[in-house]
Amino acid sequence: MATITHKGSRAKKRRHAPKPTTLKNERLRRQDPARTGPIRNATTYLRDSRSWGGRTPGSTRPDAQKHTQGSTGSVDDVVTRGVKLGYKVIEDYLRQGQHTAAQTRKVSEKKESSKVGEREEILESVLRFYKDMTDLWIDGVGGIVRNPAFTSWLNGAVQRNGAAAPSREKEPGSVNGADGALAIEIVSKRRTQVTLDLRPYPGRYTPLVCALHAPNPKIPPLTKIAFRLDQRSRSPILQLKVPGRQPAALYTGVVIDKHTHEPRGTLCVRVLP
Amino acid sequence: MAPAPTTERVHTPQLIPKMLEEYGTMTRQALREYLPSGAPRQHLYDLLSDYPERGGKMMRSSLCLATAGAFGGRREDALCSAVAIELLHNALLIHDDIEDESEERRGRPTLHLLHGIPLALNAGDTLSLLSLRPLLDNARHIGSRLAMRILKETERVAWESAEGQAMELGWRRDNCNGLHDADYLTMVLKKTCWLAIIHPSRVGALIGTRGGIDPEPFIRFGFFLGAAFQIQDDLLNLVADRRYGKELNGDICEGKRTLMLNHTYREASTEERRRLTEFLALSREQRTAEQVLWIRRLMDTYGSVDYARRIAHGLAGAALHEYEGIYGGLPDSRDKQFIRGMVTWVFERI
Repeated sequence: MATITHKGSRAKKRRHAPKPTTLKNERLRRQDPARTGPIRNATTYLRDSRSWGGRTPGSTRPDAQKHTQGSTGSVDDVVTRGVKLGYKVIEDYLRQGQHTAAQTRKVSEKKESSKVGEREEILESVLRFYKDMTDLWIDGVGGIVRNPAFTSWLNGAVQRNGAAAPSREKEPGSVNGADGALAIEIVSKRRTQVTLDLRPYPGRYTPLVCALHAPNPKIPPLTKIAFRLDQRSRSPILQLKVPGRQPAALYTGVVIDKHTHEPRGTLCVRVLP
Repeated sequence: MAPAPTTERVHTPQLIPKMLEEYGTMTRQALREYLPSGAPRQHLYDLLSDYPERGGKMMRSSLCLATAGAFGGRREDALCSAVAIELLHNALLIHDDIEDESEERRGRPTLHLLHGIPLALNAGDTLSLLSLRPLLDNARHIGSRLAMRILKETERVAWESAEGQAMELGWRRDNCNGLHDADYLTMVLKKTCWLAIIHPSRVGALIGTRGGIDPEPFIRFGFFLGAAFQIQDDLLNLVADRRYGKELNGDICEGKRTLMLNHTYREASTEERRRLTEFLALSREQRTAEQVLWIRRLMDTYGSVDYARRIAHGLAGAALHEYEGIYGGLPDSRDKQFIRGMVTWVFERI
């Protein structure tokens, strides 16, 4: 019942700090474990059982600071403890991160009481970001994105699309997933002005622009235009790519309902010299 | 005779150095284009290129490129991010060396010993600012939305690193002893794992999937691999090998709360702990070589080196487990093999 003391057992190893010289010269041979279940030793209930029966050289001293993590153990013990401890540390860390994220979300949901204002703020920040990028230029977008009819349309478009099922609960009366944040991605080496003009429309629809044409029929149209929904953020994105050799001109086109093909507005892109 | 049981192995010795060389060269070439060459050269720009030109392993940038490749992305799309990671890493090294009063970095005297603390500090600041440029250039290659996402990731890694460094420096300033292994691992998670593994993996995966991946699982994988990496790094500091590029027992001399030192402290007698506490309360210049050697021997006496090595091996095993969860379903590739091989490579590197 007492602590296992036969040579080579795990308990024995735990009591001796490894000696480098021994490890170097002798091959370590470990006997089969003498037990198959936990040691329920009453002497260990109150304090370390090793302090009851004298010390061996290299063992933890009775005056050594006791830690719940223990100290040098067998190979398996240390490895297992290390892995368990590692998982505990990382899970605590992630839990803390989730808690912080939940708090942050609560704060942001409170702010949603003024959704239009928030949308404008997000769109303004998007606009600022683009204006700061060296090779990307947007002018004239501000007036569009601040238009309440437009942000309303955005939410409608997202709902109609059907792909925007929100993963979290919304406040009663609030509109769907995208929260109105429009991202505009323009890939252009040239200075480009974008104007989006949409008619007020009570229903919901998915927008589509096939091509933007210049007045001169010899100039190739802009065709890399797409409205799509970011699957992760649930935000609608207007993507526009202006090829490097595209002539400077005003390109215009009609925004239509993808399903009914009814016109809903216009999109104009001015590529400057 | 029955065949010996085989264990799954990757070709670590051949594959890892080869790909580190390949991706490291690619990143280094791109990085040079960001290093200014005009005035003030002597007092600033020469200092900026010093650490990057000393030939680090380029592990972080290579991991970023490989992760992007493993997820089907183009390495060229991840190159700006890889450069930014290396620039930020080198910036932090300059500051770390000042804060730790380190004397050697990559086999040569540290920057502040060569040029003085004020100039080195300024060079570190400039290098971290410089790391923003490739992140802005990202917009041209991967689109503004993804570029912005990676910029946010970079902001996070900077915070995590600063918090981890503060933990360690605070322990030393306040002479905190008898720390638990959990304390050490939490510090390492922030100080090392984020910049070394988690951030490059997350950025690479975001680029490889065009933003279509949940980056959270990379925190677990990166933590286990990064912690094994850091513990091995601490262990290498205790062996005499010039290729390692740092002073022997430098961590003891700096009073770093490594897993080995914490273990030794916990195992030590009252008298030994008193001496350890006294030693750790001294400033670096007050600490003697004899004291450092005494602590090093104490680590052997209490098996602290072996203890730390076992912990590192266990964490590496956990890293492999997490690896399977993230990369297991991806098609086989050199990049995938490289990432898996890094788990064993951390124990073979010098």
